[in-house]
Amino acid sequence: MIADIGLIALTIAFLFSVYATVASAYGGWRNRSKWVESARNASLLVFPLLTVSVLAIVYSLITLDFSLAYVYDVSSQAMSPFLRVTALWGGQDGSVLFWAWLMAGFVVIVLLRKWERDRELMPYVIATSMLTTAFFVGLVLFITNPFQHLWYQYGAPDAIKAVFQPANTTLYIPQDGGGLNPLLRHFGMIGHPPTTYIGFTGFIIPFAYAIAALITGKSRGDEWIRTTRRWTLVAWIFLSIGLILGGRWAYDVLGWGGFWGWDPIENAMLMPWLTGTAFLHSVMMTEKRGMMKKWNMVLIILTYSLSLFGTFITRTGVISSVHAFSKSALGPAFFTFIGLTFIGSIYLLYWRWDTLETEHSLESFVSRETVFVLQNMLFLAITFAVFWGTVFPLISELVTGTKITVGPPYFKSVTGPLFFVELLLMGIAPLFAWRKQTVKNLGKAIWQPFAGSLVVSIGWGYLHRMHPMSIIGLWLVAFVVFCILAEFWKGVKARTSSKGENPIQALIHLIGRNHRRYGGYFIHLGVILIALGFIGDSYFKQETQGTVTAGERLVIGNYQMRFDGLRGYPGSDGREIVEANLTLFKDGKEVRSLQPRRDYFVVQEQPVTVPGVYSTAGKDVYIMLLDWEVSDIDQQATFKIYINSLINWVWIGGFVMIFGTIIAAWSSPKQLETTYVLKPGMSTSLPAVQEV
Amino acid sequence: MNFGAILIGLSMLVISVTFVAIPFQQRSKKKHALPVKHMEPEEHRLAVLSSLRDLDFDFQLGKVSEDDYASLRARLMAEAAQSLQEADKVDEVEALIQARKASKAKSPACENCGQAIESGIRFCPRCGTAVKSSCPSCGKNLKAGDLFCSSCGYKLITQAGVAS
Repeated sequence: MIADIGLIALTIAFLFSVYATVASAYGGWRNRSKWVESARNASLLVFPLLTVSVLAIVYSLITLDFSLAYVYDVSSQAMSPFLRVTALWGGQDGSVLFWAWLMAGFVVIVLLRKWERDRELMPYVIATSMLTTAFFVGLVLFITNPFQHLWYQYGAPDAIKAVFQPANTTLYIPQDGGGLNPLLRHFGMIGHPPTTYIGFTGFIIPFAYAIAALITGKSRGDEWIRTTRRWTLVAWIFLSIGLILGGRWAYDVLGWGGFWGWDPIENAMLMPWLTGTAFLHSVMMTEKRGMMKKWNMVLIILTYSLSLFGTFITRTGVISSVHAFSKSALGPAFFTFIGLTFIGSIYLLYWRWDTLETEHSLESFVSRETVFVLQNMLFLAITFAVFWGTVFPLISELVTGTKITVGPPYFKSVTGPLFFVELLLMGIAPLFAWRKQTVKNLGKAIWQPFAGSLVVSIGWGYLHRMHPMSIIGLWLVAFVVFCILAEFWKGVKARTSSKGENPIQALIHLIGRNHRRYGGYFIHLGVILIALGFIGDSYFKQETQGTVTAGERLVIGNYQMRFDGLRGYPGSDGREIVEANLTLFKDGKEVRSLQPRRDYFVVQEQPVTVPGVYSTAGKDVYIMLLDWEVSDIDQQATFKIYINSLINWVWIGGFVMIFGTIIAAWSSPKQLETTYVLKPGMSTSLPAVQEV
Repeated sequence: MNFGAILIGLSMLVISVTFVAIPFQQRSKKKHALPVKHMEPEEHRLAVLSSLRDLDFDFQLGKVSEDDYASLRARLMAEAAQSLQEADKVDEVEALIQARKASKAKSPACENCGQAIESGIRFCPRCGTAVKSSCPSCGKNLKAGDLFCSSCGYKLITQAGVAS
């Protein structure tokens, strides 16, 4: 009965999302406020209705209602209740529903918060967001319905999946389900899909506002940008967290000792992140200088289309095999929708092209504007390179019949230099002033971080005799970090001398008065720390592999690993565990005992390697149990050991980024007004503006 | 499908349809037109203010030379002044509209005979009763020669002269 209620709620949600799209578009077009208000009410209902649907599925997953095919696929008796809840996004059908639910949630928040303020844009904000919601709810209802039952037909080899009973069948209820894919039973994979989906769906808000601004002709002003800035930041940081959690999951579970493999699914998430980052920067140009209006539109259209494309790649499996595309109606439906969204938005942009003229031209080539333009170009170039590498196997398979994959070497060699310049720009951009900057002043600001970074990188390189490329990489990191620290230092100094505050007060006030600027610097700091992790991964990685009998040792760098023995025992969630006991020595001294494992999931017939990791800020010693042999006389096991230098800076950088985003999202224009007033009656000579 | 589920589903549908239909049942006085707000001068003012603040801060941090600072600041100040004027203009237009509406709604009439009284008239042209001058906005009595209402600050000068 609960599942039936969920299905009915889903159906009503679909009808109302379609109605909301049509009614709001009609109301906006004909200027009928009643229609728009009715559409608003319908949009507000979609979220609670989908919530009923989601709760019905979650309830069925927890209570193991195996009459539902989806529950049978992803849940099982051996799984803990917590894992059963996460199974909501552990399979295709549930995750598409989850996607639609999150999107409907975003729309509700916008409607409740912005209804009075943005009445002119609202009809089209509703139409755009509800059209997408209707599409996803439609997918759930007609193609990937999680409320399908299993039906048994006499003589047929497999049970049939259908919502309603086909002729000559009886309801089939299995005793136990297949359970969640063992690889997904990890905190990274539990948090990764929701955060990524919040990131993907969150971009609907700036996109819907952009489309509404284009339709109403309000695109000339930057009201839509001010309204959506924080939404964009929220979507962006969730996408960032999703990327980092995905990396952490790969590092802990996939057992190849790395965190980023340029896999199509990773790339599918990276692309909207890249264009989204470019968008976050280019909107500043519009806000401050009335420039890059067309460019903003292009970027938000791209970001949103790439978010849809990312979902498309993840959910249809089209890149791993073209044949997966036509297996269900999901692929073609998705492809058509992305195409229509993209072409429709580009057409609107073309239609309003003339209204998006820039208000100012570049005043000087040495200015922050120039750096922003360059930085945006680079982001787009990287996106294009990643896009090409991701879809190339697909295109080659379509054209020639053979699939040619481009691996990590392609991505590293193409995007590496671009990322290098991008990070360099990230370091120096804050040193430039808007509008105009003299070269002399710039030199004055740059030379200290530059000299400091040279000393650090050359000194470090000399001491450790490292790869030349790694010295350049370390120089970059040091330079950017020094540039950012210098910005904080200068700000604090200015406040201590002008306001007589102590340095800590000055720092707090500095950040408090300029949330966006200093929040941004924190985000930059996080990014460069993540880059440090990538440099470690590229240049300082060491690995070895060997088979040892109990009591013997394996050596890597200044570490030694002693194999003490094996033991096997049954674990939770229906797994059989074989665990190796190891002792790790550093420079001959014992530092830690480690237990790398191999978990075998009996029902799914799938092994999962769980590494033993000794983790410090500088490096991880990462040991995997690959194979073993036990005889009456002794025990033998094969291990693979990685020394992953600097890898922990990826996770630390992630936390710094989140911290920075929270600071940056804090500010509001109102606060600006209270801290800075234009005094009437004063002449245009200095100083008419005072901080109060 | 379970009967109970159908019943619950139907009630969800009925509640939802009712909620969606609410706007069509309300007889609001306002016409169909969507309200229009003027935000652009305000936006402009905020943008200029934030540019000014950034410029000042950059100057304080030594990112901008003194010459550049002076010229950029003068230009920004001119922009700021312009943005304030724009905002004022919008306010003036709004005020005129409001005044027009108010005077239409409360067109004063003679206490004695009900004859409509034009602004600036001291005695009723029909019965000769002295016209009590009152503020067209709040109704408070006024003294002759007042330019603003002492109670609500209403501006009494209109195109026709001083309102009675």
